[in-house]
Amino acid sequence: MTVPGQAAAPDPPAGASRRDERQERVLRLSDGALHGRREDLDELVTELTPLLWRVVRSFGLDSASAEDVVQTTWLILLTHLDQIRNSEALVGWLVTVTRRESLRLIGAGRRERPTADETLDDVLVEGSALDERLIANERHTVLRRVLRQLPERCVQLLQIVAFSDRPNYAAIAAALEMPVGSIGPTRGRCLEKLRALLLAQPDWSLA
Amino acid sequence: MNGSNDSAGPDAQGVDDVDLGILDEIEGLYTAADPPPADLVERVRFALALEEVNAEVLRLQEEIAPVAARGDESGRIITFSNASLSVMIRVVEVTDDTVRVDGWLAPPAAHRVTARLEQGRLEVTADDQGRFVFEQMPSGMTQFIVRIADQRPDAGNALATQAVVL
Repeated sequence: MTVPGQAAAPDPPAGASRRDERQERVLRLSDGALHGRREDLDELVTELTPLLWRVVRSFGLDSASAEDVVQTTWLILLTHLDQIRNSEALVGWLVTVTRRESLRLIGAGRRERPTADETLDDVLVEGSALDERLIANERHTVLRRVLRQLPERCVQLLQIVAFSDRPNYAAIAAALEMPVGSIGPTRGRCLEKLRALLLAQPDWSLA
Repeated sequence: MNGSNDSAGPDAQGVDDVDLGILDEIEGLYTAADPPPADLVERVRFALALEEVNAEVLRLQEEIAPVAARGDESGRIITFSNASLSVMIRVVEVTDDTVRVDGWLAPPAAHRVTARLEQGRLEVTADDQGRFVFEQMPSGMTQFIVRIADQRPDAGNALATQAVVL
């Protein structure tokens, strides 16, 4: 539980176990969904839609297109459930389809494709109500400033990895068509850069 | 396998708990700044409650909103398609809580078209020109299912759109 007023303090150990718990839950629900349990599929939708949303948005698609892609991806899953062999493959499969459907829209020229940085700026400027909350959260302001100094590829990778579970990194990498052997170093380099930049900020401390 | 499972240390790819803390903050930033629309999960769940689990997916290709909000006869036009079939619908408000839907199938054929609603279903059959009409249906979430008029009744011959709010 998050205690109001203490949200600014990061809690790294909780982050690790939270990701492990989420991973277990997703595996259990995936297994249920693959065995035709609709209620597990429904729960899986709640659990994984934020990740799929992040994938589409990281490709720079606007909100309406992102909604279409996410919904289409889930429908394709429904009609292909019998072709997925095991629950561990499901998240990677979903991310693969989400990426493919995103690229399909970009290829069709249906929407302009801003860079990941512009997307971040857009989403931060779009809703002024959100913006106020962000300004109130100083850590977000610093993080946003630092993210804008990273290469687009890093911003894309980091935001998707941030929404995935630890054991799923490899699946996510494969789904994004980054060679599995290189995702570690790539993620490492991106995280390393981000970490160094954050530490150099006078208004940021790694608790 | 190194046999160690110390959560404070770096994992196989060199990510330690400080990194995980940073990732948590990135997740927090994007969750606050750009969350999925509140009703997206609900719409996905509605679309997945489809009985025709072997249906092919008709992707939403284009949506044109009416230029004028009031008294505009042109309505909202939405096109769905896959490689073999395209469905265009025009949605016009009839009353505050009902709409009229005119549809066209291409290539034209007398397929059965179902509108799955939040409450129940409506079914019509297109004419030889591929035209179909739902003269009055409740506004709200709707998913269209087209059943191909096929000689083989056992064929997996249904196509489904995503859920749209009409």
